[in-house]
Amino acid sequence: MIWAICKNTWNQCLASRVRLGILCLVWIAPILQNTISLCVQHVFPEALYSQSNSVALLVLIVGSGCIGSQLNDGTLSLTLSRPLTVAQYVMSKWFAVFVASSVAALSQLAAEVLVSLTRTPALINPADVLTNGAERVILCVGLSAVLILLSSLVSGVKDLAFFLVLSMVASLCVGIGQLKVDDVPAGWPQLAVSVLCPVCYHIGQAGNFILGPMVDLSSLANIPWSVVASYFAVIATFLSLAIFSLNRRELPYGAE
Amino acid sequence: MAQSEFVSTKHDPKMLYVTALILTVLAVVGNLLDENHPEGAPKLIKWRTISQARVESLQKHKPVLYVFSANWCGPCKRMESIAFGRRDIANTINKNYIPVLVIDESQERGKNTPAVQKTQKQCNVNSFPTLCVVPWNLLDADVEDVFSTGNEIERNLIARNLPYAEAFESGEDKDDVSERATMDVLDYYRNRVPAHVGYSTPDDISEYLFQCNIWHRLPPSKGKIHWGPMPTLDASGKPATQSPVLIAFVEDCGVLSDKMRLSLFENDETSSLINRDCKPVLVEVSKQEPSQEAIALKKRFAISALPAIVVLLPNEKPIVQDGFTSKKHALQFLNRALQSRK
Repeated sequence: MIWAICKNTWNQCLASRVRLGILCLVWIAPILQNTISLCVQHVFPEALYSQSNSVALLVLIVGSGCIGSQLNDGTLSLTLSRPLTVAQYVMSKWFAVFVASSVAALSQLAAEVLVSLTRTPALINPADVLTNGAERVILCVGLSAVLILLSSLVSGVKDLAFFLVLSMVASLCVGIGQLKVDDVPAGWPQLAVSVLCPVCYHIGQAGNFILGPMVDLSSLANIPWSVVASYFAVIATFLSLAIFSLNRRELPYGAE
Repeated sequence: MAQSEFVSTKHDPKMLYVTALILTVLAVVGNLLDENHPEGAPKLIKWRTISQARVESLQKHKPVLYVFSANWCGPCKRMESIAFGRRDIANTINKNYIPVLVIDESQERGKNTPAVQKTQKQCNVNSFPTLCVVPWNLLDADVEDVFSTGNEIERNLIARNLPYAEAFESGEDKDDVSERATMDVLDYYRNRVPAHVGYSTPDDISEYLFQCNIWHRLPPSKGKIHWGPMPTLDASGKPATQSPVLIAFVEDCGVLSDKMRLSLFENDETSSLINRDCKPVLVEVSKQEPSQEAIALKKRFAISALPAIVVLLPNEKPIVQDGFTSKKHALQFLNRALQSRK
């Protein structure tokens, strides 16, 4: 781990006011929503603590362009002129992104617990809070690896657009996979749907898992080993691919 | 001179690549295995197929517990592993029910098998997971029969026994007690038998199975009517007695017969009229295995649909009312039948 690169990544994140502003908005939105439900509308929110969607947004905001922006302004070649390998650089970037996003996600959970403590103390279950916190960290670690690969492939913050396009493709695949054979005219369209739909469905499901790698901790004793293996496979594969692609890339010495 | 170890900036971490490859292979194999063996944890429960359960239920007269699930449904998998993985719950299910895990495959395969489609329709399954208990004598019944309103009688019996009566004695504010009672009843209805929808914790499942057990142990209501034995009838179906005889034919389950029990037998107005002016006789017909005596009586009075009411007057032809009769129409029918005697 190279601390200088980690610090540089955090500074890079804090330097952009737009990014900070969006981060604050995404950070506070679920807390506000729960507070309004509890204090103004006097309605219990569907979930006391925000779910993976808002955590994923935090990771995307913190980590987008972490390598791409250095590719864009040509500072990556300068960084790599020091005695460090691409692997160390990628690992440091990954560490910096998941630590920063985990801090944001855990502080968001802490704020949500505080709101619940004041309004619905009886509903707070320490085991739920711990599980939610651990799941947040797991998502941050996994999604950071995905974002590192995307950021190493494109310059600037295009990795964000790349991620959104991939998410839409995965959702589309799941949507196509849910088509029912009866809804399609008989003959070759029905045959095509019956063959393609299961394939699309599984591709979409795999895509959704890859773009938000998670391990459900609600039943610790019954976590399937395949899910744990898939989670670590996503992290290892995406980091390997990021290193592999950067190693074979011609790095520019100036702004692209 | 010793040469310092040189590591290229573009050094490939081969160990990481190999680890990633091994993990990817493991993940693919694991997911393929999961796909082919979706049961996973719930090994404690002896699941049957729909057809096996049907045969066994009819033989042993035990209710069938359908657990409607889907491979893509996370809460279903969680419930199957957490709740059905518990030994006490598994024992209760194995002892009292014939459990069937009905997996919806409409998303993976485009459509379900006809047996799954029929069972989902019968239990009115709109979301997963859903638990539904179907008594052995309603295995062929439609959705309305399975969710019969006749169970309101049993529900009220249970609701009446909810522990808020003591609150009146303790001097608690009446409005508070009333609100709490309402909430208790609502809570009871939310977990209504025979269906239980949504993710359930082990405690929810225990509570649901407890309620189902009560439901199955309570016999259908006979109401407030003083039923007597069947009088002797002559060859033309006329009674030997001088007072009018009312014979009510009801099935042991099913929505129409349950409605009749509620609207006629439980109602004060109709029950007092029947008790005062008639000799009431109840003929309960088993929906699944009707007795020879019941079949013969139905044939004798040419009854085409159950429930039915027959009024027998001395020296007159039997007056027959087929099908469900509401309280209003039952009163009209009875008054007209009894007036004709006067």
